[in-house]
Amino acid sequence: MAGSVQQQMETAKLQLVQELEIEMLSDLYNRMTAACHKKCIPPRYKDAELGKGEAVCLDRCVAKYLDVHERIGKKLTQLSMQDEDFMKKMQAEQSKS
Amino acid sequence: MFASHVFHGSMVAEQLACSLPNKGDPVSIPEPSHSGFSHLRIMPDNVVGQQSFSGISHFPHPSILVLLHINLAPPSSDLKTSLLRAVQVPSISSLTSIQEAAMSEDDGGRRTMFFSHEELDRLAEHMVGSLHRYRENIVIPRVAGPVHVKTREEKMVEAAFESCTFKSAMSCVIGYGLGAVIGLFSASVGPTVPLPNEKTQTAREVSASLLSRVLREMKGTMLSYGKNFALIGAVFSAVECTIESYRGKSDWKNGTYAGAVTGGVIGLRAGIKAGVIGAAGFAAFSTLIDYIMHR
Repeated sequence: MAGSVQQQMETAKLQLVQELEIEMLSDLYNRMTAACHKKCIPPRYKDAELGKGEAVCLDRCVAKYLDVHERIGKKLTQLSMQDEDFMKKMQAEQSKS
Repeated sequence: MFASHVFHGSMVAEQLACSLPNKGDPVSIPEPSHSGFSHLRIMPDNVVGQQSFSGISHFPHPSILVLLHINLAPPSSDLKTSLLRAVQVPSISSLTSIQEAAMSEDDGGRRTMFFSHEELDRLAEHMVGSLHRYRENIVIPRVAGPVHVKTREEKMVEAAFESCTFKSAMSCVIGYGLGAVIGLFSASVGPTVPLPNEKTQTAREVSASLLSRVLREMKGTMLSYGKNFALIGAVFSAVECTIESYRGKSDWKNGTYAGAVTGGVIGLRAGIKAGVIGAAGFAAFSTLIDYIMHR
């Protein structure tokens, strides 16, 4: 009985993780599209096709956006882990004293 | 259950035949803001299944970082909540329903934790760091028509056709052709072949030699004009493409700068002053043509 509850929790976790991932990726996509469109494509359109400069700008924008996303995310996770270790140390000291 | 609400028609709904434990009313996930997903198959392989369910009693915290981290800290961890509040990230309203799903049923005041802190840290790192995925797993929201993901070969071919070298080569070839046509007209307007000596040849031979000389002159003019125009076209196109790639903008200034460089290169053959005048003139000409073509 405990095994099947365990299994249910695992599949539920998997499901939750997948949902979160979808939300995160779609939000990332939307924000990135909006930001890069605003930066790279001037509002007055002369042509339906992307010019060379605009295409180059979009490539650079996407690369920078993903790089920034990754770096800041890793930094924040690292800070959070440090904070976590700190909390654990405090709790251990508290329980000792 | 609510999996089918979100993943209608997707592969995940077929794979997951589970229901969340201890839910009272089924939570209805609100529809994502875009009209539908083409297909999705996401395998978080390093997060789930490595830590067993620990059963620690923690109260899940209501604030959720969208892109970076999920916080299910106990209410006493003020440091963590203050860190999260310092980051101004708006939370998606639909995520609160997922968070409700994460909380299992209240059993006499004790709530069971769904994800431990280490799991969450690893999950956050996974979501942020692992952007290396197979191409089939990309989820692209379908906005105005079917989603067409280009294959690698298609992209390479397109990149080749839009590259600076190809554009320059095309301009060179077309310039050569245009130069040949203009040379032909220019030669046919005013032939500069001198009349031959009438004493040594008959009338027919005279006209034949004249014709051959005129044709030779035309050919020479066509070639020389063609070479000039090919050079102009190649240089202008290459310089304009390079400047545009460097600046990252597509506006009228690219043509002006490229025209200046081209005019300078051509005029420099006849001295510096001629080079400067040529640069200014060609830049003005290029700007005018751009204005007329892209009005």
